[in-house]
Amino acid sequence: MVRKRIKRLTTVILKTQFSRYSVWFALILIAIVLSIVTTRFFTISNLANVSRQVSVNIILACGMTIVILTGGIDLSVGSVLAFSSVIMADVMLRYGMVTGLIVGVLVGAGAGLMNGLIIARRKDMAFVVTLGTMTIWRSLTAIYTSGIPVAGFHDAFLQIGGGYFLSIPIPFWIAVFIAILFKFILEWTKYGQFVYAIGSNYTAARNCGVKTDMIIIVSYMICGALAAIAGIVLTSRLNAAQTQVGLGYEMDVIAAAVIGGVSLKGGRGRVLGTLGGAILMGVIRNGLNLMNVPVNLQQTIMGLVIVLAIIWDNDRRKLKKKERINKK
Amino acid sequence: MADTVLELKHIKKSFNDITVLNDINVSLQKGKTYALIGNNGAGKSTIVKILAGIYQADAGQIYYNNELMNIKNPSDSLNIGLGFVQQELGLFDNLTIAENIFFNNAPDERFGIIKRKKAITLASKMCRDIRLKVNVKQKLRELGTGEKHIVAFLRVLARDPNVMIIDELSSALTHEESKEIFRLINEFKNKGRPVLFVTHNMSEILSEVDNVIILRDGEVVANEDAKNLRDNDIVKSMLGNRDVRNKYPKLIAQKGDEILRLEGVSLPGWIEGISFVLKRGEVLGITGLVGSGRSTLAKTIFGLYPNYKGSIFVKKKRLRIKNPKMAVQYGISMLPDDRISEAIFNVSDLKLNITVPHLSSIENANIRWMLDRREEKRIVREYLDRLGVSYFSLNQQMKYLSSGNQQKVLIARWLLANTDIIIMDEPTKDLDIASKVEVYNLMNEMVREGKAIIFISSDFSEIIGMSDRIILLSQGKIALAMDRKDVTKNIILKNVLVD
Repeated sequence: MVRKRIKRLTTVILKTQFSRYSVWFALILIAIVLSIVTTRFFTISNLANVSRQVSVNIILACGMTIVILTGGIDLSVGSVLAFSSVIMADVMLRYGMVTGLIVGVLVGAGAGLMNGLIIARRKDMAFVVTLGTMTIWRSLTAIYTSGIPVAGFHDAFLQIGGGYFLSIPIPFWIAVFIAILFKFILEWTKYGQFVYAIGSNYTAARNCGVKTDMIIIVSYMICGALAAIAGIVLTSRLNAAQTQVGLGYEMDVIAAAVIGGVSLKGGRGRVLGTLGGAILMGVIRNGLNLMNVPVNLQQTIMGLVIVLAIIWDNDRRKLKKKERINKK
Repeated sequence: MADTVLELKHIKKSFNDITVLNDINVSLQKGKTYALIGNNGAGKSTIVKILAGIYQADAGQIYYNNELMNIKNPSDSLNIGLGFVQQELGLFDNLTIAENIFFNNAPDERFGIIKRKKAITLASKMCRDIRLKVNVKQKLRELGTGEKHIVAFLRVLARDPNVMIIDELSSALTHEESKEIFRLINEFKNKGRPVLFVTHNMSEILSEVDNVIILRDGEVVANEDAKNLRDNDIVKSMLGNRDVRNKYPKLIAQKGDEILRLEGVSLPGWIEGISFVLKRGEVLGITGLVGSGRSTLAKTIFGLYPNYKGSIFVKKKRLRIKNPKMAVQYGISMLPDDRISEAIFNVSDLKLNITVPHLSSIENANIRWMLDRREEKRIVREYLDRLGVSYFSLNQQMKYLSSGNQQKVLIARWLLANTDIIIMDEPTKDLDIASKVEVYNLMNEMVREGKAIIFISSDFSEIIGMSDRIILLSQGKIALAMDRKDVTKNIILKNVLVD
């Protein structure tokens, strides 16, 4: 009897539009729970903290979302973040902030270009290729810096990572702006349509005359450039460009996309979903921190969250499909 | 009746509302070979799949050695001792030849442990016996089509079945390869076991089989000693007496200027010396057996094989079509044979599926790189309604539509792109009758608007029924080119079989 009730409840929950925005519902739910469990969650300083912490992930995740949508993946984002940061820092200290920023982004785009050129005709090799470039950029970073962090930046630069605007940390503004910008690009431009088409069926896209090589290269370049921008934000916040930054970031980024409903097979997913996924992850981590959960256990819980999110997503789709077939 | 090994009685099978098998009665006797012949769609493969346990008959019984059998799945079929070589082969490219031959049938297998060495030795012997020169430790993917067919045959042989059923074997083999296979089949037959060949290519088979069973429109219309039949009789039985030209809703449109011309187009190893002229308002039918080069020709015109030799003229201008994007720009579109892999954006919604090749039609009036989503919805709705596609939301994914509706969406895609030349490769494959008719009507609409269609099909009735002119391809070359009024299925079949 109880089982039947639970089943019916889950069906109702899954049926409604709720399922599409489930990330946000989950977020609100967890936020409410956390506010009850600990008084320190819903304070301005804590929320500001959380938003600053998720910013880097959001920026990276936007780029990753595009790449995953084309049916690929980019494991090198963490390394590109590091490499572009150290180059940017060096150039900045020698030639000024603006030049440094521009060079940094160019380096990121360049790394993306390299990924894109190799992956363009070899679609299924994205994983292995970016695994390789990940190692390449990480080691080049170490060689370039010889392990010595770069520090000593302009105040203006430090504002990027440490400043506030209307009580909200600037990094968060940047992150959300980027998310909305790419939502627009993906849903309102030809380029965006082509990205979804390629991810859905590469051969069919070619057969429709889509310039698949070009689109894929551009997508990886965007991902690389965004990694550089994330690096700018991070470097500014830490006030140092270190060799080890970004280690393992790609995992959190992919997790954010998956929780946000992006399909790893390509062709399905929304940037705003990823945004929600990244924020959700940040809020959960923050909550676990406030509850003094040991770091290693936190990782376990995050892992569980990711697995549950995938199962939820998968089963929701299967249920929808069953419904459609029954309707007919 | 003691000689009857396998018998089908009153077998009926329908798919949705279409009756494919009406009242099938077949009995296979000890030590005899049979050829099951019939036109495309007559139901041959369905019978094979029912025997293989892939489909279940709606009515009727199957008897093995006079015992009633219930074949619910492929396992049941194998347990009875039925062995199959299917059209799709069902082999594994990533495994070795030996592993394929003894798949799930390893010699002396105990506790699930496979004796590799023995399998390799036996496999090598089998290959030598049939004069297949390969190293059985090679991966299957390194073999050619004909050789793969032989491996499929060896796999069945290795199971030592009681009845062997072979679906469309010969077309992929060379003469020598066929001879070897028939030699082994004769040995098999001499052990007292029946063999059933399913085919629509008769020349080789006729000289080798004992009996011919002819299928037409889901019924057995003849079951006779091969010696008593001649080519003409067989063809007549297969086709019936109707003049198919009247069965199809063909609209003869006014012909306009030349819009496409091919001169000596070749792709070494695939097609050779293809030349023809296509005018506006015309439907050019291209047919031939599997492997004759039809799809390759289509893909060449569409720019997927940029290294072709010869010339292609579009609107009397000589052009080099190097990729699909150029083809679309020059006004050529293609609906490929394999819709699911090559044309349908499965996980994407209807809107994307229709608008992708021609996003300029939904550009924002003021800002060209932005899309006008409202206009998109309007146009997509318009086309879907015009083609009669049933859907419940523009946002639904393509994969939830029926085949017929999916095909209509693809046609809508190219109608929106407004190309002058449309290549349709097996457009009515997997479609129910109602949808087929709708596709034919759409073809009529297109030619009435002055477009030209290259219509590829292996269904001879359809080709004759809907084309203005017909080209028959054989082994990459044009074997026959005729006008609609001069051709009959007889002529096509004769040319196909004479190879």
